[in-house]
Amino acid sequence: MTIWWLIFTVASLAACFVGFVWMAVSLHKLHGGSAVPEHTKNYNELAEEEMGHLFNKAFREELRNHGRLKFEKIIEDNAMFLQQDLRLTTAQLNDYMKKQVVTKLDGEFTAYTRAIHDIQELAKQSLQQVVGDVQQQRAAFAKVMEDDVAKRKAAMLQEFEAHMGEIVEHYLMQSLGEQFDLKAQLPGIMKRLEASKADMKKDMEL
Amino acid sequence: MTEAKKSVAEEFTLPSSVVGQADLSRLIREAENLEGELEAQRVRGQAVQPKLSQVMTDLLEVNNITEIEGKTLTTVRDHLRQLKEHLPVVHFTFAAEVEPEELQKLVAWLRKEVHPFALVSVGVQPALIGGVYMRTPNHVYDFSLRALLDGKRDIISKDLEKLGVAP
Repeated sequence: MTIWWLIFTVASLAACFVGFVWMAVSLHKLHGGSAVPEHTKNYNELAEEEMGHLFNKAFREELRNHGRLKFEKIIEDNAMFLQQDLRLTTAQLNDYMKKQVVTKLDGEFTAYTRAIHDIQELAKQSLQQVVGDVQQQRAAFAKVMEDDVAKRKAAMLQEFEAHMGEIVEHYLMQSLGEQFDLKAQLPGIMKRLEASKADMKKDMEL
Repeated sequence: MTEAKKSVAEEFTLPSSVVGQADLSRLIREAENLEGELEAQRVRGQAVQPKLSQVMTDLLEVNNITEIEGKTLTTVRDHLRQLKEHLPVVHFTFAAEVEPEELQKLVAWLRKEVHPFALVSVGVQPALIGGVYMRTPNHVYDFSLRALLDGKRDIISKDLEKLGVAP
């Protein structure tokens, strides 16, 4: 509500009030409600008598009707102003309410959005932490597996190396067996004996 | 070689069919038996040619002894006893049973190239896989396939290292 509308409303109400006061004073004067001095009593009585003639019942009724109409007009005018003011006030109130509601809703939405954002951030952090933990555990598990595999491989190779001779011997013996004819080996044996002939000769002459 | 052994060696030759001390022992026993048989024939007045083993025949042949007499047999027996006591023995161990022909080839080579009166004893050890394990009086010569594989074991290790699987 603007200040000008407020001033206008107050001025209207003040005009109505002044109108009422004026009418009351006028009626009071007509009825002679104030104290009349003695020396004017006779005139008054005469005036009353004349008034009885001038302001007879019909005239008073006419005046009353005239006042009623005037009063009704004023009342209607004021009612109209009041109605306009009420409409205006209602419209302003609606605007105000809308603004308040919008402001409140905006605040609520902002808070809701912030809360959602906070929840999203928390969920994101939580997920990141979970992902980090999972990756860490996966890395640790992979390291354990790699170490285990390396240990097993080293043990197998060590075992293989330790028993390699036996394995190869066993394999050759099982594979060749009796088939490995001494006749076929004899040239090779002779060749090796020839290579060691000097040592053997020296040894057997001792 | 002592003088006594040298003289025996100069006078006597061993055939390749005489391989080891067991053959010598058999020959000595055979010579004693032949001596006894010839003595018995002499007493009985008989003159039957005694039956000789192949080894004894070879021995007499390589030593150019054609006439079998008691005195000759006594000399042979004494020589064989001396040889049995003093000759070096070479032990051959093979992965499988060796055929007599191959053994005689080895003995012939040994007596030709190393020692003319070397005796040979033979053993079998399948773990050798192949080749021969030889022991002279003072040395051991391992020409077996097992020793060869043991010596070449680093080849497998190197190959494994190349493959990147070695520790």
